[in-house]
Amino acid sequence: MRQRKAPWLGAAAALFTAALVSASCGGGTDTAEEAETTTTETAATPVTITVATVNNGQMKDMEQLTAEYEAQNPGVDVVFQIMEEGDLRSSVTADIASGAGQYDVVTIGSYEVPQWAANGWLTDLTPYVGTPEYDVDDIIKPVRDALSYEGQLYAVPFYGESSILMYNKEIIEAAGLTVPNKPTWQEVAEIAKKVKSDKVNGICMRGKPGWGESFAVLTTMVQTFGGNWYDMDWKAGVNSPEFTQAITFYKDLLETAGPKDPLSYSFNECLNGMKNGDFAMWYDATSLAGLLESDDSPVKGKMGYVYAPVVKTKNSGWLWAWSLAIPKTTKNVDAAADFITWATSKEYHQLVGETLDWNRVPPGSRTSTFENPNYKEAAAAYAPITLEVMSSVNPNQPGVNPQPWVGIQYVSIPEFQDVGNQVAQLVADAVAGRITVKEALDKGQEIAQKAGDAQK
Amino acid sequence: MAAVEFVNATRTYEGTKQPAVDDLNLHINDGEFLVLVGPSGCGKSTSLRMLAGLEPVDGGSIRIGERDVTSIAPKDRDVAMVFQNYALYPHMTVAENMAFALKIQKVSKSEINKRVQDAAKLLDLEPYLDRRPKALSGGQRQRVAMGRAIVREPQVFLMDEPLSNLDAKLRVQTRTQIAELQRRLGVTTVYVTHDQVEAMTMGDRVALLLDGVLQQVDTPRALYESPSNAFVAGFIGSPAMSLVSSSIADGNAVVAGFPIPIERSAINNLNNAKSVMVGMRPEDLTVNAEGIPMEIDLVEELGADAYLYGKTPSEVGAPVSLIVRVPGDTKLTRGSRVKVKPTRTYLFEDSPTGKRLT
Amino acid sequence: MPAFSARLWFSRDLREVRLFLQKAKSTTKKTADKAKLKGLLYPAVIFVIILTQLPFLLTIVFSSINWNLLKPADRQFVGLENYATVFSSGDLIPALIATITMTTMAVVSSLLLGLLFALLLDRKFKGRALARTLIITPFLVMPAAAALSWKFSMFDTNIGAVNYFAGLLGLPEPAWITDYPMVSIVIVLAWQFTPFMMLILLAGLQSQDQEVLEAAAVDGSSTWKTFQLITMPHLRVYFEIAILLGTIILLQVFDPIAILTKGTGGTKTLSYLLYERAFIGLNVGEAAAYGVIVVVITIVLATLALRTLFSVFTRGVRA
Repeated sequence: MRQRKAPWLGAAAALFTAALVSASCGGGTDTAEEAETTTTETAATPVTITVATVNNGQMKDMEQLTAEYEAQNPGVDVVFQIMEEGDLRSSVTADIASGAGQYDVVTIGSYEVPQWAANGWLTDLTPYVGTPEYDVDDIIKPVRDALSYEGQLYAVPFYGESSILMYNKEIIEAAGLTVPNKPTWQEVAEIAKKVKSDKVNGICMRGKPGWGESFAVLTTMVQTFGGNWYDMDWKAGVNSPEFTQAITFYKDLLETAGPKDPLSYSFNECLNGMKNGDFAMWYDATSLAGLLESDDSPVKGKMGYVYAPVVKTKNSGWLWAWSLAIPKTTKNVDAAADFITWATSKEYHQLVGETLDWNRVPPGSRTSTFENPNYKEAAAAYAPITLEVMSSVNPNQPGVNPQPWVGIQYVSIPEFQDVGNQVAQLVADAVAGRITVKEALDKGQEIAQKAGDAQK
Repeated sequence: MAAVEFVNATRTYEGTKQPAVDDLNLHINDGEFLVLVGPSGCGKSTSLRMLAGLEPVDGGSIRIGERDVTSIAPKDRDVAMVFQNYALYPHMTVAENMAFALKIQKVSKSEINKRVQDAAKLLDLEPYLDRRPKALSGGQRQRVAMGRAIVREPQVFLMDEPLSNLDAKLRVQTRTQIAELQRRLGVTTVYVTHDQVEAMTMGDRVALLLDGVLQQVDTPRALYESPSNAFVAGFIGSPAMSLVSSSIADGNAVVAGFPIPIERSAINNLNNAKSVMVGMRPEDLTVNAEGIPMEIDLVEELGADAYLYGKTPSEVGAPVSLIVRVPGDTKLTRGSRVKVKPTRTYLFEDSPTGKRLT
Repeated sequence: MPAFSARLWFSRDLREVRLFLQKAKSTTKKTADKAKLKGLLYPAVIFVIILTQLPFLLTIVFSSINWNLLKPADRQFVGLENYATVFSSGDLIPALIATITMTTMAVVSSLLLGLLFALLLDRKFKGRALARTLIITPFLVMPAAAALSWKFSMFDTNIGAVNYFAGLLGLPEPAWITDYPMVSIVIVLAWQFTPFMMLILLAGLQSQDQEVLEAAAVDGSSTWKTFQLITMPHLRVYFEIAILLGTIILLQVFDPIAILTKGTGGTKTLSYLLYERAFIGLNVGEAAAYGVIVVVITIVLATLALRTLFSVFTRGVRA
């Protein structure tokens, strides 16, 4: 126990001391800030911008290309702290919540943006994105919506993604079947069962429990089946007939045509399986299409991409954007804003395409990128569908009924990662047959309602 | 109880050419106390371990009684062994240590109790039966090791330097006790030691080994009186026999200029050799007007007797060491020069293991 | 002259030291001096106490605060409310059961396998050093790396080695993570901790007096009996150490749970539960309450377990 406890205790203690320090400095803050501003403007003292970001390819590209930015802006030094997703979330949360202010720019998901904006933790970016060069309207609208709170933009998307159904054309054609461009879940289930053989499974879906893993998939399914986590009064709907129907459908589909060991599958496992030709179809993020079409992929050019399967709604794709935001605690707002508008600009996309590879341009944030002939050529297989899906999803009301939050595959409340995780674990137990779907969801309802009550 | 026989028994350790025990032939009578003695590395312990089955026999065979045990596991040989470090079972009490072998043989509880009690009585261990070996003194541990062997009532006792970890006084005392005990029990015993005094005082017969080869086996008296070679002569007896390599002139062996006549029979055995090894026991040398000149280095006074340790002076050739027994009231001191005359000599071929000539 | 007086002075000094030492030996003086010396220790002792206990004291403080990192506005003192939540949530008892089950299974299986390998490596054979190095490697692999490699190269239903060989032998090919989550984790843990147990037991075996084993052989004991009656009692202390250290380390296991099962199927141990409360719930107060409870339970259980365990061993030897 001791070893496990140590890191978080340490973090908590650090947090505690940080809080003390910032509190004790509170009295003198105003003058200090003023002094700082003056010196920055007059003497052009070097500014250091600390960026906390997530450990993935596009972010590393950004770190690499930042040299260009620094060359254009003498006196600005951009420092990156690259972390795993889980570490990033807890370290950024702790930093901002405690007011420690060590980061000038943070990378956060669309899940956090509206919540943190509501907490007053983020700088309103609306004044900084109004220039014609930045062309804020070029940012895909649903993404903009997801990153806004009360009409104001609090983060700019670095890249965005939705979800689509990907399929192996060879396997589907060999079975004499076709996948419609806008399939229903029932059609997908039919196809999956038909192509299922000893060698090939019908469909891969995330099964590993987690609010960002199995429940990214499941929440979109629940919504298109007509259910949702909460209604407008924050009454939980986890054991509603629609929610139950969606989970039962998912469980049956996994059993009849899914991976053999479903609970060990997340997107990485599915990606490997698709590349191996172990699966006919895969329902997951648009950004993964790029990996299936990369040069080292054995299924490059053999894949088809269609809309996320639906039941009662028109669209069922999810929406996620890794975005750059500026904590209120920073002392370098202007410099930070200048940096993030550069990193999410058309100019940056051009830079990535020209210096690195058009395939590596951060996808799903700007409409203009999808019109760029170079990008169109490089991402021909999946660019059109990505843009179409991303432009057509509605984060304000993804399901059949209205919801009191912005977001598709998550609920933008602080309790959701916990609620989502616990329900995901219960559903996993149901998938493994240790409990029934009803038992899982009844228990889940209790958990969800507790969090719902806290929102009233 | 049974006789033991080594027949051409050989053991060669892996990676060595020279056998540790080379073609050993040795018959040990039923009930006999045989001591294997020799300097370290002579193969005495190896021979014992071959008999116990702890060391494989690479050539020849070993018999215990009517049985050829050459390839029989130690546990089935019905021998009991006392180890140099006693090898007591550390987590068992004294009583459990002694009862261990009997328990394995599934001897009845009452019989085990009786035998353990008897042994404890015999060895003065009764107050310690519930103690662990850790809580015992060296002498007590040694007795437990003995007790563990006795309760077995085996065909043969094997003892591997069982007294070497005791202090001198206790060693002498225990030596007598073991010899006595063995005679009382009448169990064939093979006893390994490097100490010739132990060998001489304990054994019915003593087998002397050197470099894996049996040199001589006989009663202590006979070994002392008639050693078969120079090595045996030098090893047996305390203080040791003085052995002097001497040239031969006119039928005499010349030691530091002093001629010692060689018997006719010995001359025939000499085969025209130019030199001979002359052996003189301390008690066979007397201080005399005529004799071998000697310069005294040390006078060892033991009460009734005294021993003179010295060497021949360098004027008369390379110095050779001599030991002479004199009466305890001698006036001689360190530095004095005397002449000593042998009253009896042993002649050997002139080599460390040279054959006896007379 | 100066040299001489210096020596005189030096010798007088030595005599004084001797006198002082003699005085110090008299009992009254001795205790007084010792008390003075002990007084010098206190700053260090206090420092160590602060250093080791402060985090725990802070945890206790946090446990009385309603503090969700994402709701800075709601932070307030709530007394024992967090504890009430912990006990009413119903997560504690299953986590306790999961922890005990997992630890026991992992300790027992790695101990038995460790004993087996220790006995093998205690024998002399060609390539023993190489074999020992190879057998130790699993322990040197980082826990997360071990869990990942088991997940992808062993348990995987398509390309994993376990089911491949099961298939060759005509055995059933289970969906390990989905159907046997606890067994899967225990297998990984046993794989990792067998070398640890083996090293301790091997040290025990090699510290055994060869003469004692020979004595047993001559005393008529078979190899198996000798192992049972001589070697096992000798290994007792080593078993105790192995069980104690193994249990302490295995109680803290986290990585394989996070990587393989995410706490499903009865594998949500106390450490994983604590992690979830702190890093997914982001509920500092509740996590702190869990932390305090876990520490208390661990102390109680460890004390009980150690006492019973060790007395069982001692009795076992006496009998």
